[in-house]
Formats: sequence, C-alpha cells, structure tokens
Amino acid sequence: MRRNNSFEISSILCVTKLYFLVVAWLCVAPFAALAQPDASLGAREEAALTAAAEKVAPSVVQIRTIGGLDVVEGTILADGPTTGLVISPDGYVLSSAFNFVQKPASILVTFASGKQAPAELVATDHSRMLVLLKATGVADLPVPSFAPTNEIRVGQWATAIGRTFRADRTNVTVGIVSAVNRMFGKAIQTDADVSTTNYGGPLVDIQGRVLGILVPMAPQATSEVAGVEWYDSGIGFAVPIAPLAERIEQMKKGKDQRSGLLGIGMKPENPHSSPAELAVVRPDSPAGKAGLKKGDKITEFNGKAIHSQTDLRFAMGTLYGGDTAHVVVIRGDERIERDVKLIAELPAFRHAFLGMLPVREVPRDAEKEKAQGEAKDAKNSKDAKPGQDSPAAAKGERATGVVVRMVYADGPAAQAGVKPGDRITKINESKIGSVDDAIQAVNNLTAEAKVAVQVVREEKSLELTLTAANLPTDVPNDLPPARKPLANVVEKGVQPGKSSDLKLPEFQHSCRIYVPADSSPRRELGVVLWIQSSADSKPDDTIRKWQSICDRDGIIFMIPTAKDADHWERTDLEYLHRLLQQVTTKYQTDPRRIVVGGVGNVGALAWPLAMASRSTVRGVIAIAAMPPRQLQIPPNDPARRLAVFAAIPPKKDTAAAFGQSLKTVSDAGYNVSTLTTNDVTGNLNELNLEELARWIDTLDRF
Amino acid sequence: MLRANSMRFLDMDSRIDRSSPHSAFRIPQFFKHARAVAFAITCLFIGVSVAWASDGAAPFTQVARQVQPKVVKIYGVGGARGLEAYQSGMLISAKGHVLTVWSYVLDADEVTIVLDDGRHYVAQVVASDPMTEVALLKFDPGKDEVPHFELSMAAKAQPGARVLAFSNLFGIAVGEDPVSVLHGVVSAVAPLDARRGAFSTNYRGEVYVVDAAANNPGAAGGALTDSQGRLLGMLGKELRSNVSGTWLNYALPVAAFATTVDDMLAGRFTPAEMKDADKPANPLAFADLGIVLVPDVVNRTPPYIDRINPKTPAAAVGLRPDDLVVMIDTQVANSCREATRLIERIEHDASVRLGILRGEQFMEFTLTAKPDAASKDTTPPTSDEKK
Repeated sequence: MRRNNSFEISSILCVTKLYFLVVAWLCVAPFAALAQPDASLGAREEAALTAAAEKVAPSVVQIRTIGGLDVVEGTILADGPTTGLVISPDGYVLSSAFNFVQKPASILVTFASGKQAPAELVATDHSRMLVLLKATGVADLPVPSFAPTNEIRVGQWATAIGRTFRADRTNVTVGIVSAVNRMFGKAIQTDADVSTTNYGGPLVDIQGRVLGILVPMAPQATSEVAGVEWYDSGIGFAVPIAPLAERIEQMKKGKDQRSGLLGIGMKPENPHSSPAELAVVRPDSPAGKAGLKKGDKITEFNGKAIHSQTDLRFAMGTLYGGDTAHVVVIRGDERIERDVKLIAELPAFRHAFLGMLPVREVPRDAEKEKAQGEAKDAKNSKDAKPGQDSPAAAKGERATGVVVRMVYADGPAAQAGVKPGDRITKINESKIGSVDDAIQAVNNLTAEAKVAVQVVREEKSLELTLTAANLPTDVPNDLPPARKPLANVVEKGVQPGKSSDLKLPEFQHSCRIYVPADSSPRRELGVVLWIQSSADSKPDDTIRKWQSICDRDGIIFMIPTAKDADHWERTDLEYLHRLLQQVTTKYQTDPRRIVVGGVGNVGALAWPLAMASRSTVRGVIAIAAMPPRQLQIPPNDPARRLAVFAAIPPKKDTAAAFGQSLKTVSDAGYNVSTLTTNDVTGNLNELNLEELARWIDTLDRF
Repeated sequence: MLRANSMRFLDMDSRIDRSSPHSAFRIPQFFKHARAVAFAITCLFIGVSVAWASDGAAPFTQVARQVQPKVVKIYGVGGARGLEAYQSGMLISAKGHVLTVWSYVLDADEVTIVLDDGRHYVAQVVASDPMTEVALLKFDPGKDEVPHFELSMAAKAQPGARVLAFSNLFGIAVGEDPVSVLHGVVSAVAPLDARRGAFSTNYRGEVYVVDAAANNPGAAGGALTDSQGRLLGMLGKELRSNVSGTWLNYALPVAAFATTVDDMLAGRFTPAEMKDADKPANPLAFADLGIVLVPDVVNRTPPYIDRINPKTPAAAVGLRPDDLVVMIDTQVANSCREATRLIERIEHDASVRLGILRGEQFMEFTLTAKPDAASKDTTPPTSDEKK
C-alpha cells in the first residue's frame, strides 16, 4: 500500500453498501494500530524520560558570563549562556571547565526559580574538566540525587539536560549510555547529543538520577577545549561525580585538582604491547623519591596487574595529585613494593648534560638492524624479553661503550678530564652499549647531580665523577667528523645524492626528497622535513643550498608541497606525520637526528607537527616561524627529547613577539637555541646555515 | 539538463499511471470475486497483525509510511560551488500546493517536484515570505491523487516529545525513493537566534529544536511530525545558533506560517515590509540615563560603569561607578558592545530595568530617561559617549 489511507477511502466508498462497514474497519485498523504505541512501550518511555528530565530540572541552572576572551586555542567561543548543576543547598554549582575557558570577569547564575545570583569560580578540576562555582545569597536550593556509579549500565537510557536556549526551561536530548569507564576511567560515554547547549548540565537516568556532568573530552588531549569538535556527533562524555565527593570538598576550599603524576617516562614504543618499563625516573619526582629506578618494570598498580603502558595509564587515570598509590616493580629478579604519593604538578623538566658528543658508529649489520626495528629502542633492557627476537649476543658484543667524538669546552666531562677517543662504558648503574643508552642514562639525571662515569682509555678503565649541567643552548663552532675513518675501507669521497619525488598513495600532496649517496659502509641518515612557501623558494633551489651539508653530515632532506598551493592546514599534519613514518621505514635513519623545519608563517606548521610526533621528532627548526598562538605546549618529556633552533629576523616587534613565545617553550623545559638573522625575512646566509647544520649534527649530545 | 530529464519522466509517469496496479485499485477488484465473510476474516487478520507489528519493536513503521508520500523532493538551480540543487517540500493540498523554504534552488522559472512514487511535476513559485522564508509552490496534478498534510490539523509538541523528521537530506532519495526519516526528541521550544554566515535570520519566533541531525543540505522544506505522524513544523535551512555556536537542528512550527500560507493560498498575501524591528525610532542611550561605561577596548570588555553624571536618572536611583551592568531588561549584557546594542533597542521614553553586580551583590534598578533629555541637543556633555 503505497498511497495514503485517505486515498483508499475515497476509492472504496463507491463499492457496495454491504461491504462498507467492513471496508471502513479495514481502513481504520491501521489508524488504530498507529495509536497503539501511544498506550504502549513507546509512549510510556517518552513519559518516563520526560518525567526524569523534569525531576532534575529544578537543580539545573543557567550560567551567563561577562567579559573574557572570544577565541581560545583557535576555537571561537559562543557568548550564549551555559549550564550548571546545583550540588548543595547553599549554592555550590558544578559545571564544565569549557564554559569558563574565556576567563570571564563575572559570572551570573539563573536558578530554575528565576532567581539570579552572582557566582564565583571557586576551583577547577583539570583532571575531570569540571569547575565548582559558588553562588552568593542563595539558600535551600534543590539538590538532585545521584545514581551509584556501579549501577550504571551500557544501553540504559540517558537524557542530557541543559538550560541554554531559555532560562525558564531546560533543553533535553535523549540517548543511551554507550560505554562506562571511558577516558581512562574518568567518564561515561553517551550517544545523546552533547554540545555547548548542555556542557555543564547533568546526564540523567530514566529515574532522574544524575549519571554525571556533561563535559567535552578527548582521549589524547588535556586542553579544556579538546573534544568540542565532537559535539552532537553521538560521542559525548559525562563525569560521574559520586566518586568525587572528597575532591569536591577540597575544591570548596579553593584547591584546584589535577591528575596525579609519578614523574616517570616510558619508552616511545607501542603502548598497548610494551611493558610499563621505566625509561626515565625523575630524581625530583614521587617515583624518584620512592626509590624507583630506570629499568624497573611496573607490574602492579593499586592492586591491578599491569602488562602494558596502557594498563598503567588506565590504572592511573582516575587518580589525583595527593593520592597514594601502591606500586609493585620488578628489578632484575627482585620484586619491590612502594607506596608512592602522586603529585599534581612537576616542575618543568630540563635535560641534564655531561658535555660529550658520541662518535656515530656504523651499525654492524645495517640490514639486520633495520629488520629488528623495535629492538633498537630496547637495547638497554637488562633482561631480554621472552618471545621477542632480542639479539642478546649482539647486545653483549655491543656493550662496549660509546666513543667520545668531542668534549664540550668547560662542560662537566671536560672538567672531569674526559678526552676525545675515550670510551664511555657506564653512566651510574647503566651499562652503555649505544648512543641511545647514554642519552637515556642522562635523561634520568638532573643538573648538579654527581654522576659516576666509567671510561675506558687505552685499554684501561677509569672511574670519573662528573657534576651534571643543563643542555647547552650554544652551538659549538667546530666539530670533528662524526665517524672515525675506517680501516680497510677506502672512502671514495663524497658522491652527490639524488633528488626525486616521494608520493604517498592516499594523499594528494607531493614531496621532493633528497637522499645523499649511499656511502660505503652504510651510515644512519638524519632527516630534515622542511616546510616552506613555494613562493619563497622552489624545492630544488632549497635542496641545492643544503646539498653539501646533506652529503657531508648524512641528511635526507624533504620538502613537501601542500595539495592546495601554500595552504597548509592542521589536517595536513596527518600527511606530514605519515611522510616521516615512510622515510624512517624506507631508509636507515638516525632516530636522534630527525627534525622538522619551517620557514615563515607557512612553516609555523612545524611546531604542531613536532608536538604531535614527539615519538619521532627530536628537533624543531623555526626560521621566522613563530609557534601558533593557539598551540598548547606540552611539558618537556624526559624520555622524548625535543630541541628547538629558532632564527629570529631582526624586526623589532616580531622579534619581541617571537622571543616571548620562545620563552614559553623554554619555560616548559625545552632546549632552545636562537640565532638572529641579518635578513629581515629570516633568510639564512651561509654562516647561519652552517650553524644550523652543526646544531643538527649535535642532537645526539649527552 | 534537469529540465530535459523531467520531461522524459513525465512521459513515463503517464504510462505508469495507466498501467501500474496501485493497491487502492486492486482492492475493489478483489471484492468482486470474494465473499464478504472471507474478506472480513482476512481483514481481521491484517488488522491484528498490523497492530501487533507496530507495537514496540517498530513503533514508527506505520507513521513513516503514512507521512513519507506527503514529503517531496524538489530540484531546481544550483550545483555550482558546492551549492546543492535540491531541497525538500511538503504537500499541503490536493491541488498540488507544495510548501518549502525559499532558497536559490527555487530561483528559476520552474522547478521539478518528485513524489515518493517517482511521479514528476513542474511547479511554479506562487509566493514567498521574506520574514519566515516560507515559499509556496504549485504544480498541476491533473487527475492524479496527491496525498497531503492538512495545515489546519497540525499538532504541537513539548520538550522531550518524540519526533520524526522527513526530508531528502543530502539528496539521497532519487526517483521513486521516499524521503529519509530521522527520529529524535524535541530538545527545546525556544526563540530562533541563529545566523547563516554573517546574516541573522529575520524570523525570531519560537522554533522546535530537535536532537536528530535533521537540518543538513537538502533538508530544508521537509516535515517534522510527532510520533503519530501529525505535522509539527517545517525543517529550515542550515543555521548556526548564536546561543551555542553550534549547528542547529530545528523546525519552524506550523503556527509560525499558517496564516501566511492561508493568505498565499487565497491569493491575498503581500509580503510585509522588512524593517529592523530591533531599532526603535528614537533609541535610548546610556548617556541619556547619565551612565558612562568604561572604554570599549576588547571584544568582550565587561560593561563596568566608569562614571555617573550628577543629577541624572542613574544618579537618582543610586547607581555607582564600578557597578557592572549585567542585565538590560531580560537580556544579559556580557560586554560593552552588547550592552550598548541592547540599550539601543529600547524606546527612548520607555523605562529600563538594569541588573547590576556590585561586588558580590546582584541588584536591580528601574530607570527612565528624563523627558527633557529626549532632544539630543540638550545633552551635549554626554552625547559623545554614544558609539
């Protein structure tokens, strides 16, 4: 029956009277059927959901803010009202931190009764993205009831409630609970539409009990605006607050809450399959103070078994600074248990420095080495992982130390008497078999620390004590060759390499790539990914400028071109990231010398690229390319170094602004080297270029 | 190209209408050869099974089937630069009247209407209303039966009510495909405060805000019904809410355009002259009240009072410097700019209620500009404060 019923009626009426009643009944039957759901499940559900929303509505408030920013991290903020939930009769209101990112001058709360009251932001929970407000001059406010967290089930009805479109009525969206324990155990997920129209409001069950406070969240980001891009998408989050009672009491006293930190770093490996082995333990951190050490493997955290880095992140997810965690680690054959009091904020980490540059030794079997991929990063694990094809024998062979290429003048090593050609075999307790070993050992130090270094000089072993310093920002003027001339091999002299086009099948972008000639024996190549405007310089011209440096230092030079002329967008980061992946897979690259560079406004993309590819990228070169204002600089990570080389054009206002933003980067703990160019556009002359080349060539310093 | 196609389809339609056995025609034929009792039993079975099927498991099946034929696909001009050449419409009379939203798609001598069963007609624009952006189209159905909504039978819904949205969003339905059906609830019944690009809508009355992704390209002109298929409103164009900054899913309630459409059908509609309803002839200014706000330096400078001129209404009621103006009548002023805009919407001689934050206190004051201040030349010391 395709046509509607009225059509049938009119057609049929002309048929004999005898059948009229029957026919009429036939036509009415579908209508009766239509009315059927009304009295049945659907209608009852609708009534129950509406009643649930009405039940909590008296506790849902409208929030207006006055003054503040209009753009935060590139997100344009609407200036309409937002939502909050009363949690105490005397005027404490919880809301989403997103509703206050603009840092308003004043806050005005309108209650369900119509009463208006000014409110103050008392404290922020940076872990759950909540804020606590206190409205003044109010009493006897209705407080909602909360659903016990352990009763929340996937699939149950969930109604999201806001009070934004109008002050006198709530707005509702309906869905179900999609998941529990999301965002590392901090939130439940719902498919009800969640957006600025209800952030800060409650998600309620069909009985009108609060399941959680609606907030934007994203798994990999910590910013207040993260997750907003998922609005109304069927992916929404609500933070259950029943378990937060104690925290809310602290917030009432004005204490901001943050996630608890151990002060450790793990290896940049696949977090789902790699054990929670500590690559770095900051001596000034809770883990360091509790006596945890580099190489320890966390196997239990607060009674939960830990098999991977992800397990650990999950176990820590719900904890706050100030919480105490029971940690079990395995160190060799030893099982060590410690109670560690987590900390909310660690001071910015600055990498320590012993003042040496290593000789880059040629991998014994480059091909084999390449095939083992991940094993490279696992070089210094004390015991071979079962089931992994770890070349234990090779490791033994290679635990022969690292030869010193250069000793930094007046550096800790120079002061202790280390000489070029010395072989470093041990730093504190860490045996050194590779440059990575040395760097990782130093990553576990802080400046001023006394460091025992074992040195082999002319077959004799020396124990030296060094006082660690901080990584230098000056670039050395003169560098000895990175490799020893090899016996038995006649170096052919430098051969020119080749430029070619590198195309990734899924992307429309193109990339010009210069690879130095395959010198014999093979060497690990550094990588420079260079983002520039094609209006400023053609890719081949830039490559020509860099060619001799690339040949001498062994650097692959890549210049990608945007698919749409010079218009790079943040979405292009995926392409650039894949480009780096492609080149590090295809070539024998030196993981310590992979850098991204950017020239001018277009090149500012190098910053977010470096921040997003921390596992791969070790340096950022910014030629008159300021970090984008909306970029959040994450704190420096002990295990994943990132150094900055900035060329500042001599223009007064830009230089000042550039300097200011570089200071933010430096304050976050990063090593920042700067250079002032003669050229207003920031073009590098030959001397600048050489200095930059030396900076890249010293990224494996320790 | 489209028009050429439509001619071809029209030919096909006439063929289909003669030959294809529609169910409605089939039943009387069946009658002639069957006994009444047997038929009654059959009916009983059908009736019971239909009632059973529509319960719980598939609550909207019958409703969708009933409503889909009343919503049409409209094809007009567009196609260049990412502009869609299609939208949706609602049949509102047996004579071939189609209600839709005015847009560039209709900006042609004639547009093509395609029904759910593939029948094609060429329609002309009868009238359009710049206020509600409602447009009335008419095609000639000839002897064809045309299912349609009765605007006079429209229903109303409250927040939380289940609703269905019928439209050809993204132009997914083609030929004899019926339009897409989405389900959700009414999120809010609230005044429309939204914009398309930089342009705010003319219509500021109430709309149904829904939680289905109802308003996408091509959806404008589609129908919003309640869970029983009763018409609630017409889906509008894609708009961004000024309140939340998000894309809005909404429908214009029938009540907002019923009279207009009646006038259009009766041929007596004349578009109202568009004027900015916000701007009174003689607007009020802070200066008239004796209030000087702090200099407006950033986009959201909080509207603090910088000074109060003596012997003015503001001084008389006890307003003070450093008071923060947060409400003007019922509207929240979150910046100097917004406060100035709001005050200019008020007639000069009307009284205005100001909500003030003084420290931690929220206070309200009612002021009226002095009658003698009505003539602007008499207030030279403060008139330059107006921006």
